[in-house]
Amino acid sequence: MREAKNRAEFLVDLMAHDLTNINQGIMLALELILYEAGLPEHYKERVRLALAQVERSAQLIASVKRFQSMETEPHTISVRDLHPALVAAAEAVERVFHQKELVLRMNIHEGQYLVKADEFLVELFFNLLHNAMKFDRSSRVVVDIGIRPSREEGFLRVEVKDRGPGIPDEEKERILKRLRGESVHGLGIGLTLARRIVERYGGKIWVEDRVKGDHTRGASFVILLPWGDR
Amino acid sequence: LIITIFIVDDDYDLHQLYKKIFSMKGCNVVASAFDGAEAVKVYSELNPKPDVILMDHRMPVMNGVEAARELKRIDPSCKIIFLSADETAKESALAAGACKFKLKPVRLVELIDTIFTVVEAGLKSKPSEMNNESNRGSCSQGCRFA
Repeated sequence: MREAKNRAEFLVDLMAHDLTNINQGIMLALELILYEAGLPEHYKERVRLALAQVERSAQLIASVKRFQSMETEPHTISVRDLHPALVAAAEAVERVFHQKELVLRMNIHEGQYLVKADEFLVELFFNLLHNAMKFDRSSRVVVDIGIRPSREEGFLRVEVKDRGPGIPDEEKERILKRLRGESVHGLGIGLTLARRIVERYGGKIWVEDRVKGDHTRGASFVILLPWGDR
Repeated sequence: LIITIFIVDDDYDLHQLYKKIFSMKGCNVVASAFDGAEAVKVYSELNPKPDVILMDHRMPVMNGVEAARELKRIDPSCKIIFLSADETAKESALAAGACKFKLKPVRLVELIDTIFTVVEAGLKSKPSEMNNESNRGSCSQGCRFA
């Protein structure tokens, strides 16, 4: 069993490494085309689209590698500040979607809310914000972050509310369960990764409608994270 | 002043792409190697030495970190930039003396910026060369430094 696991890890590592090198080659070759003098603008646009796809592929590989490292690395939970994690995640997402603007509206300041987490805390919010940026078609993406003590003792309730196409009720449960064998069309590894991170901290995550009863007006990802005491 | 570059990577296609890109940016690829051991051998024989070494990590015969260690032993002033798909090599690459570690895939602008930053930092650390106007300027594609 252990041997099979090691072998699987080895193959993921090998594939991720080689695919990354292939992506590097494709990326540079496409950028070389962009530098061609006199290339018509409509061709440039197609090349930029291809570049965006390569970047998408690179992000997917990075997510799989992070998933793998999360599974293999020991847990080192400590007290972490939510505010800098959210800011770091927002900055990282903006770098990915450089043609869009992320407007993050939140009601907290530095040092206000502490949780028990590890270095994957930024990754958790990155995946939720990435999801919002990906599915909201407007160039200015508004995301509200609401944080308050949960009714469940010892937990903090964090709500990440987007204005994307929303998630129908029948899909809400399934989108976070991809790795449990269910195939969900159109959804990536990011939300599964988010779920695994929350579970790593002993918390919970689920999806609600941003506007109750109308899923078309966006999703609200609700996360319960354990309070952290200094 | 044209920046001279030594490329070490086991991927032949990447060598070709780097060469094309750097020549467009007014840089000159002065040598190539396809594994760490070859890199050490080629570098030892290079005269003058290149401004920058672009180093991959996972390569046959000798990996990038081992090669970097050996190159720094031969020439402590050499400037090594790692371009690797293996993030776990970052710490050991920097410990071996690399100036920068960039995770592949790297966009062209970022790659060029990194090279110029490293070369510029190298020039600043040599005040006598900085005072020499002939060392200041820009490459032929307008990439300014110093």
